[in-house]
Amino acid sequence: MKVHEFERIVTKLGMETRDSRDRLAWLVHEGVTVVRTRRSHGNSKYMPEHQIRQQLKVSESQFAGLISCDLTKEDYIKILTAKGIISSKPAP
Amino acid sequence: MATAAYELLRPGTTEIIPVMENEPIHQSLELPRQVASERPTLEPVQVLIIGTLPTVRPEHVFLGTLKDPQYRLRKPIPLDVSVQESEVVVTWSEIDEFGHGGTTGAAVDDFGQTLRELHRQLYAPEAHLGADLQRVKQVLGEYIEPRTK
Repeated sequence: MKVHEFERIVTKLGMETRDSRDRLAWLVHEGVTVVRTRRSHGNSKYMPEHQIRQQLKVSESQFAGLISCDLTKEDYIKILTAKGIISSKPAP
Repeated sequence: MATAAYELLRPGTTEIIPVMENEPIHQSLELPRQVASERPTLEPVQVLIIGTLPTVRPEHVFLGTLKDPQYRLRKPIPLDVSVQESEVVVTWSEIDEFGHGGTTGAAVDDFGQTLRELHRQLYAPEAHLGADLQRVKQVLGEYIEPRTK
Protein backbone atom coordinates (compact mmCIF):
# COMPACT_ATOMS: atom_id res chain seq x y z
CA MET A 1 0.00 0.00 0.00
CA LYS A 2 1.29 3.44 -0.93
CA VAL A 3 1.11 6.66 1.00
CA HIS A 4 -1.07 8.32 -1.63
CA GLU A 5 -3.52 5.42 -1.45
CA PHE A 6 -3.78 5.82 2.32
CA GLU A 7 -4.27 9.55 1.91
CA ARG A 8 -6.89 9.00 -0.77
CA ILE A 9 -8.95 6.97 1.70
CA VAL A 10 -8.48 9.58 4.41
CA THR A 11 -9.59 12.35 2.07
CA LYS A 12 -12.50 10.41 0.61
CA LEU A 13 -13.91 9.51 4.02
CA GLY A 14 -13.22 12.93 5.49
CA MET A 15 -11.25 11.41 8.36
CA GLU A 16 -9.80 13.62 11.04
CA THR A 17 -6.04 13.42 11.20
CA ARG A 18 -3.31 14.26 13.63
CA ASP A 19 0.41 14.06 13.03
CA SER A 20 2.02 12.54 16.06
CA ARG A 21 4.70 9.87 16.12
CA ASP A 22 2.57 8.40 13.31
CA ARG A 23 -0.11 9.94 11.16
CA LEU A 24 -3.33 9.09 12.97
CA ALA A 25 -6.68 9.08 11.23
CA TRP A 26 -10.14 8.84 12.80
CA LEU A 27 -13.56 8.66 11.22
CA VAL A 28 -16.01 10.75 13.20
CA HIS A 29 -19.61 10.16 12.23
CA GLU A 30 -22.24 12.45 13.75
CA GLY A 31 -19.92 13.39 16.58
CA VAL A 32 -18.95 9.81 17.39
CA THR A 33 -15.53 8.34 16.62
CA VAL A 34 -16.20 5.02 14.93
CA VAL A 35 -12.94 3.73 13.41
CA ARG A 36 -9.28 4.61 13.64
CA THR A 37 -6.17 3.79 11.69
CA ARG A 38 -2.66 5.10 11.24
CA ARG A 39 0.41 5.06 9.08
CA SER A 40 4.06 5.85 9.61
CA HIS A 41 5.45 9.12 8.37
CA GLY A 42 7.61 9.06 5.27
CA ASN A 43 6.93 7.95 1.75
CA SER A 44 9.28 5.00 1.89
CA LYS A 45 7.89 3.52 5.12
CA TYR A 46 6.11 0.21 4.85
CA MET A 47 2.37 0.18 5.49
CA PRO A 48 0.77 -3.12 6.48
CA GLU A 49 -2.23 -3.09 4.18
CA HIS A 50 -3.96 -6.06 5.77
CA GLN A 51 -3.84 -4.53 9.25
CA ILE A 52 -5.04 -1.13 8.04
CA ARG A 53 -7.91 -2.83 6.23
CA GLN A 54 -8.83 -4.67 9.43
CA GLN A 55 -8.90 -1.40 11.34
CA LEU A 56 -11.23 0.08 8.72
CA LYS A 57 -13.51 -2.99 9.08
CA VAL A 58 -13.80 -3.77 5.37
CA SER A 59 -13.20 -6.77 3.13
CA GLU A 60 -10.43 -6.92 0.54
CA SER A 61 -12.75 -5.96 -2.29
CA GLN A 62 -14.28 -3.12 -0.29
CA PHE A 63 -10.81 -1.91 0.61
CA ALA A 64 -9.84 -1.94 -3.05
CA GLY A 65 -12.99 0.06 -3.73
CA LEU A 66 -11.98 2.62 -1.12
CA ILE A 67 -8.61 3.06 -2.78
CA SER A 68 -10.17 3.33 -6.21
CA CYS A 69 -13.28 5.34 -6.92
CA ASP A 70 -15.72 2.43 -6.65
CA LEU A 71 -16.74 2.91 -3.03
CA THR A 72 -18.06 6.24 -1.78
CA LYS A 73 -18.21 7.53 1.77
CA GLU A 74 -21.95 6.83 1.81
CA ASP A 75 -21.27 3.23 0.78
CA TYR A 76 -18.70 2.94 3.56
CA ILE A 77 -21.12 4.35 6.16
CA LYS A 78 -23.66 1.74 5.03
CA ILE A 79 -21.07 -1.02 5.46
CA LEU A 80 -20.20 0.12 8.97
CA THR A 81 -23.88 0.45 9.85
CA ALA A 82 -24.60 -3.06 8.59
CA LYS A 83 -21.76 -4.36 10.75
CA GLY A 84 -23.00 -2.50 13.81
CA ILE A 85 -19.91 -0.31 13.96
CA ILE A 86 -22.22 2.64 13.46
CA SER A 87 -25.49 2.46 15.30
CA SER A 88 -28.46 3.04 13.02
CA LYS A 89 -30.76 5.88 13.97
CA PRO A 90 -34.10 4.96 15.46
CA ALA A 91 -37.04 5.79 13.23
CA PRO A 92 -38.69 9.14 14.18
CA MET B 1 67.98 -29.32 43.91
CA ALA B 2 67.25 -31.75 41.03
CA THR B 3 69.34 -31.90 37.89
CA ALA B 4 68.50 -33.28 34.42
CA ALA B 5 70.42 -33.91 31.24
CA TYR B 6 69.13 -33.98 27.69
CA GLU B 7 70.44 -34.89 24.27
CA LEU B 8 69.50 -32.96 21.18
CA LEU B 9 68.65 -35.46 18.43
CA ARG B 10 69.02 -34.49 14.79
CA PRO B 11 67.55 -36.26 11.75
CA GLY B 12 69.87 -38.13 9.40
CA THR B 13 72.31 -41.03 9.67
CA THR B 14 74.96 -41.81 12.18
CA GLU B 15 77.66 -44.34 12.69
CA ILE B 16 77.42 -47.05 15.26
CA ILE B 17 80.67 -48.18 16.63
CA PRO B 18 80.52 -51.77 17.78
CA VAL B 19 81.73 -52.33 21.27
CA MET B 20 83.88 -55.41 20.34
CA GLU B 21 85.49 -54.09 17.13
CA ASN B 22 87.06 -50.83 16.09
CA GLU B 23 85.63 -50.90 12.51
CA PRO B 24 82.75 -48.41 12.09
CA ILE B 25 79.52 -49.72 10.59
CA HIS B 26 77.48 -47.45 8.35
CA GLN B 27 73.85 -47.99 9.05
CA SER B 28 70.90 -46.00 7.83
CA LEU B 29 68.63 -44.73 10.50
CA GLU B 30 66.02 -43.45 8.07
CA LEU B 31 62.48 -44.35 8.94
CA PRO B 32 60.49 -46.64 6.64
CA ARG B 33 58.77 -44.86 3.85
CA GLN B 34 55.30 -43.66 4.82
CA VAL B 35 52.47 -44.47 2.45
CA ALA B 36 49.35 -42.33 2.72
CA SER B 37 46.08 -44.15 2.87
CA GLU B 38 43.54 -43.42 0.15
CA ARG B 39 40.98 -40.76 0.79
CA PRO B 40 37.47 -42.09 1.28
CA THR B 41 35.13 -41.18 -1.52
CA LEU B 42 32.05 -39.21 -0.39
CA GLU B 43 28.86 -39.72 -2.32
CA PRO B 44 26.07 -37.15 -2.18
CA VAL B 45 22.98 -38.38 -0.42
CA GLN B 46 19.60 -36.71 -0.78
CA VAL B 47 17.79 -35.96 2.47
CA LEU B 48 14.07 -35.33 2.43
CA ILE B 49 12.91 -33.00 5.19
CA ILE B 50 9.25 -33.44 6.01
CA GLY B 51 7.57 -30.43 7.55
CA THR B 52 8.73 -26.87 7.92
CA LEU B 53 12.21 -25.94 8.97
CA PRO B 54 12.43 -24.33 12.36
CA THR B 55 12.71 -20.56 12.21
CA VAL B 56 14.46 -18.25 14.59
CA ARG B 57 11.52 -15.84 14.62
CA PRO B 58 8.58 -17.04 16.72
CA GLU B 59 5.05 -16.87 15.35
CA HIS B 60 3.73 -15.51 18.63
CA VAL B 61 5.26 -13.30 21.30
CA PHE B 62 3.95 -11.68 24.45
CA LEU B 63 4.38 -8.03 25.27
CA GLY B 64 5.21 -7.97 28.96
CA THR B 65 6.02 -4.33 29.67
CA LEU B 66 5.17 -0.88 28.42
CA LYS B 67 8.15 1.42 28.41
CA ASP B 68 6.18 4.21 29.99
CA PRO B 69 6.35 5.40 33.59
CA GLN B 70 2.63 6.26 33.48
CA TYR B 71 1.31 2.82 32.57
CA ARG B 72 1.79 -0.78 33.55
CA LEU B 73 0.46 -4.00 32.09
CA ARG B 74 -1.89 -6.12 34.17
CA LYS B 75 -1.09 -9.16 32.02
CA PRO B 76 0.99 -9.90 28.91
CA ILE B 77 -0.50 -9.04 25.54
CA PRO B 78 -0.42 -11.87 22.96
CA LEU B 79 0.95 -10.77 19.59
CA ASP B 80 1.00 -12.60 16.27
CA VAL B 81 4.25 -12.15 14.35
CA SER B 82 4.38 -12.13 10.56
CA VAL B 83 6.76 -10.93 7.88
CA GLN B 84 5.40 -8.81 5.05
CA GLU B 85 7.76 -7.60 2.34
CA SER B 86 10.77 -8.00 4.67
CA GLU B 87 8.98 -5.99 7.37
CA VAL B 88 8.11 -7.64 10.66
CA VAL B 89 4.52 -6.97 11.71
CA VAL B 90 3.09 -7.79 15.13
CA THR B 91 -0.68 -7.81 15.52
CA TRP B 92 -3.00 -7.89 18.50
CA SER B 93 -5.99 -9.33 16.74
CA GLU B 94 -8.39 -8.76 19.64
CA ILE B 95 -8.41 -5.03 18.95
CA ASP B 96 -6.91 -4.99 15.42
CA GLU B 97 -3.85 -3.04 16.52
CA PHE B 98 -0.41 -3.54 15.05
CA GLY B 99 3.20 -2.49 15.12
CA HIS B 100 5.91 -2.96 12.54
CA GLY B 101 9.63 -2.58 12.07
CA GLY B 102 12.75 -4.07 10.61
CA THR B 103 13.05 -6.60 13.42
CA THR B 104 10.68 -8.28 15.84
CA GLY B 105 12.02 -6.07 18.62
CA ALA B 106 11.46 -2.92 16.58
CA ALA B 107 7.94 -4.04 15.70
CA VAL B 108 7.12 -4.74 19.35
CA ASP B 109 8.51 -1.34 20.37
CA ASP B 110 6.40 0.32 17.70
CA PHE B 111 3.37 -1.59 18.93
CA GLY B 112 4.00 -0.53 22.52
CA GLN B 113 4.20 3.14 21.59
CA THR B 114 1.07 2.87 19.47
CA LEU B 115 -0.78 1.20 22.31
CA ARG B 116 0.11 3.91 24.78
CA GLU B 117 -1.06 6.59 22.38
CA LEU B 118 -4.28 4.70 21.68
CA HIS B 119 -4.92 4.33 25.39
CA ARG B 120 -4.52 8.07 25.96
CA GLN B 121 -6.88 8.91 23.12
CA LEU B 122 -9.59 6.45 24.04
CA TYR B 123 -9.50 7.46 27.70
CA ALA B 124 -9.52 11.19 26.95
CA PRO B 125 -12.49 12.86 28.66
CA GLU B 126 -13.68 14.42 25.41
CA ALA B 127 -13.72 11.13 23.48
CA HIS B 128 -17.11 10.05 22.14
CA LEU B 129 -16.66 6.52 20.94
CA GLY B 130 -18.73 4.18 18.83
CA ALA B 131 -19.55 0.64 19.89
CA ASP B 132 -16.38 -0.95 18.49
CA LEU B 133 -14.01 1.59 19.98
CA GLN B 134 -15.85 1.29 23.30
CA ARG B 135 -15.03 -2.40 23.17
CA VAL B 136 -11.39 -1.60 22.30
CA LYS B 137 -11.28 0.76 25.27
CA GLN B 138 -12.67 -1.92 27.54
CA VAL B 139 -10.10 -4.48 26.34
CA LEU B 140 -7.31 -1.96 26.84
CA GLY B 141 -8.54 -1.39 30.37
CA GLU B 142 -8.28 -5.11 31.06
CA TYR B 143 -4.60 -5.11 30.08
CA ILE B 144 -3.32 -1.63 30.92
CA GLU B 145 -3.66 0.44 34.04
CA PRO B 146 -2.20 3.81 34.95
CA ARG B 147 0.54 3.69 37.53
CA THR B 148 -0.29 5.22 40.86
CA LYS B 149 2.40 7.27 42.57
